[in-house]
Amino acid sequence: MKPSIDEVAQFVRARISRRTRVPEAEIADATILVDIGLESVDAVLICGEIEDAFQVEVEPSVMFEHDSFGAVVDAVMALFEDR
Amino acid sequence: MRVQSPARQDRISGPRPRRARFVVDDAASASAAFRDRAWTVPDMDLFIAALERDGAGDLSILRQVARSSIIYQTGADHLATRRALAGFLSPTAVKRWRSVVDENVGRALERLAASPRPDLVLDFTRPLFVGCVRDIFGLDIPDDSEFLGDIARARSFTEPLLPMRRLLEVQESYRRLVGAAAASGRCQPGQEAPASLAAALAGRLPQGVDLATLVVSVTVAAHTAAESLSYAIWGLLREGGEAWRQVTAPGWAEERLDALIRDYSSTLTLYRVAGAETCLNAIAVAPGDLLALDIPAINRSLCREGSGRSLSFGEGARKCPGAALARLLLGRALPALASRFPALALVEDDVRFERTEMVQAPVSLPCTGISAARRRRARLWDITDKSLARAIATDNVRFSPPGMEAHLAALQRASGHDLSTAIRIARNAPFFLSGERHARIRGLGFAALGANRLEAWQGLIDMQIDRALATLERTPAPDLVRDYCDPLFRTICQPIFGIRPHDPALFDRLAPALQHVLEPLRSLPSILKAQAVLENLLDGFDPPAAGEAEPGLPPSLYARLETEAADMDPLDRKAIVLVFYGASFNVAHTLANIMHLLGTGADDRRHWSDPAWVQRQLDRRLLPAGASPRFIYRVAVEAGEIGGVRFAAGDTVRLVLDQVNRDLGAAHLAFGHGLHRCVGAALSRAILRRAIPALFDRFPTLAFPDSSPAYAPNSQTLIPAALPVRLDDHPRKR
Repeated sequence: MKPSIDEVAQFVRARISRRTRVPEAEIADATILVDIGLESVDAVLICGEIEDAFQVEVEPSVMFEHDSFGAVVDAVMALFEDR
Repeated sequence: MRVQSPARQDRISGPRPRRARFVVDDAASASAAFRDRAWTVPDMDLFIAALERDGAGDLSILRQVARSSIIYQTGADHLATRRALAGFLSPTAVKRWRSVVDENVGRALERLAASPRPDLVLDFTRPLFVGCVRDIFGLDIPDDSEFLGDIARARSFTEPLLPMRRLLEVQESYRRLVGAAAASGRCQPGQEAPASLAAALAGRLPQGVDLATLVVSVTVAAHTAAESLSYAIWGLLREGGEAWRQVTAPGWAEERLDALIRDYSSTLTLYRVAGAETCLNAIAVAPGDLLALDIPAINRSLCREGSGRSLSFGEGARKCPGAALARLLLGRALPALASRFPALALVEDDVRFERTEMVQAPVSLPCTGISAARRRRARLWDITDKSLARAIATDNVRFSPPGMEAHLAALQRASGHDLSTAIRIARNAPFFLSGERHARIRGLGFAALGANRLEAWQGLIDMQIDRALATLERTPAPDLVRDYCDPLFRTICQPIFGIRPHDPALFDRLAPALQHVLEPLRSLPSILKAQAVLENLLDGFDPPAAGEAEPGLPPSLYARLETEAADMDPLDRKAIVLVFYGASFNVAHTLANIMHLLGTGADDRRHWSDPAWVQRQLDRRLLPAGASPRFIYRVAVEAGEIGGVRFAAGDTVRLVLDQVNRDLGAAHLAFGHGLHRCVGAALSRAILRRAIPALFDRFPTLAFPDSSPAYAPNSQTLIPAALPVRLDDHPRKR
């Protein structure tokens, strides 16, 4: 079943917050992920967690191809459409 | 010269005598006609008046154009108007506009540089034209786009046989342009710049000539200079990188500009009408006969004669009065453009031309090579400029290869997964290393794979090529990738690297996975999967036994490592061999790419079997165009600027090889450059320079039925997956 965008956003925001130690409240749609210190290791691990939680394949490069948090969430949502 | 109408005696019938139509396509006849005052221009005033009489409505603006434009004027009016214009447009007078042209060129270059989708017409030549006529002719142009639309419609007045609706559009455009010109006539006292065109002409024109209409008609004609500039840019870029580089050479404009204007004339046809009896090439001409001057053909005849001059501007009493201004514009704009954007290249598929009976010019010239670096993502830059790419590739202080080992180690710590084999591969791959370890492995690699070391392997290379050719010949549905490139790679590289697989079939099936080592940001499951394959491959062959080398052959890479790197971990030595082998898959892909390029290109195929030709062209053209690696990655060690681009520490730069290598010739970056130059470059060249001519020598009529090969999915390497070929029926026997 396809999750809502809020569910995905909340999930991804929490993982990014945990790995970058930036409070969730400071991660807005326009937040540029590399600016808050997201690194390639984080991308690999967070994408793995998204895959486990939502059963959708997410390439880690998605985290960098779409710079902002909101764009990444949109890109993940688009993967559900392709599923 | 051609006569296109029937012979004169046949055409004296009916109420109107039929006119002869001459077409001149050689310079001598053209010069004779240009200088013969019997040839004049069609009487447009009379033509428009006739239309009005026949109920076409008020065409008074067009009649004013016909009377005020020197294109249509004749006799004393024409002479007087030319004299008035000469004070403003003569070669001497035009010199004072040089700085104004340069300022506008600068502004147009900035606009081009800032364009998200740069187009040399939309973002350079047209804005330059608008800026120049605004500043030089003193026009108020509130809306560039509307102005250019009106100029284009007004220009079409010179086209023969326009339908009535088009003539009315032309008139409306002239009405707007003349109205604006009459309202502006800018002449600002106290400025050092010379007066506006209107101010310069005021009081010097013959009776009946409208000042504002003349200014507009000159402006419309001046647009031809911008079209010529667009056409010349297109021509130079089509001629290639060397022609474009030459534009920046000192004295280029003085030496080459006239030939350029000759070769890329935007004017296609000029018409003349005989106003009196005369002769053209000993053929009698009657009043009313028509002459079409085919300017490109006339210019070609000048080119054949070796003449540097052109007739693009006409000649004699009706020579284009704006020729000096056009020369100034091209002479200043082209070197500035080539100097600012040395890597400029056309997006050929999207180039659009407009061609009418009278003119031809590009209307859209999308291009690349404007920005040296393009930010693809927040921390990733694509480098397409060759100079910047070379600077980065050789700057080992400010840029380092991607730290794959550190990335995998961090991932191992964070994920809890054992990634030790993947880390070992990364730790022994020179393309992920810098510093002492890189220098050590690089040195060990060159000791085995340097050009001087490979001479001893030449016999093996030749033998395997012969075997592969023999196999290819026997194969019912031959495929160059499966039956030539891949077997050559395996049978040559495995002995040279010292790989003797326990199970060759299994090893060969798994080994292509080595190519994915380069792919950035793989998911954890795919890393674990790749690692399992790497472990299989590492287990799949043993270190060479002492004295294992074949008689007459030098020690393999692995054998050298066993003696020269005895201090290293044995598994690291094996990993080095495997990494080098994985990187050498590029030989097979590059060989396939080059042969496909040759097979579908325009080169004379007789060259392809000539080893000397292949040797000459290998680095000049074949490798830059056919090398399989698509990118070179570097990471900025610290924040800084290079080539005008500011990088932050940790930014990744990606050298985009297909664009960087364009026009670089032998200086290409297909094998990288500097400290990180590919260790296997000499081996690649040794195989390619033999395998290419040998194939085409054995199968002189080899053909590629598919124009586009299938490619294997890989984001970093161009890998032809299959390349079916037709061999000839009677291959050359050895």
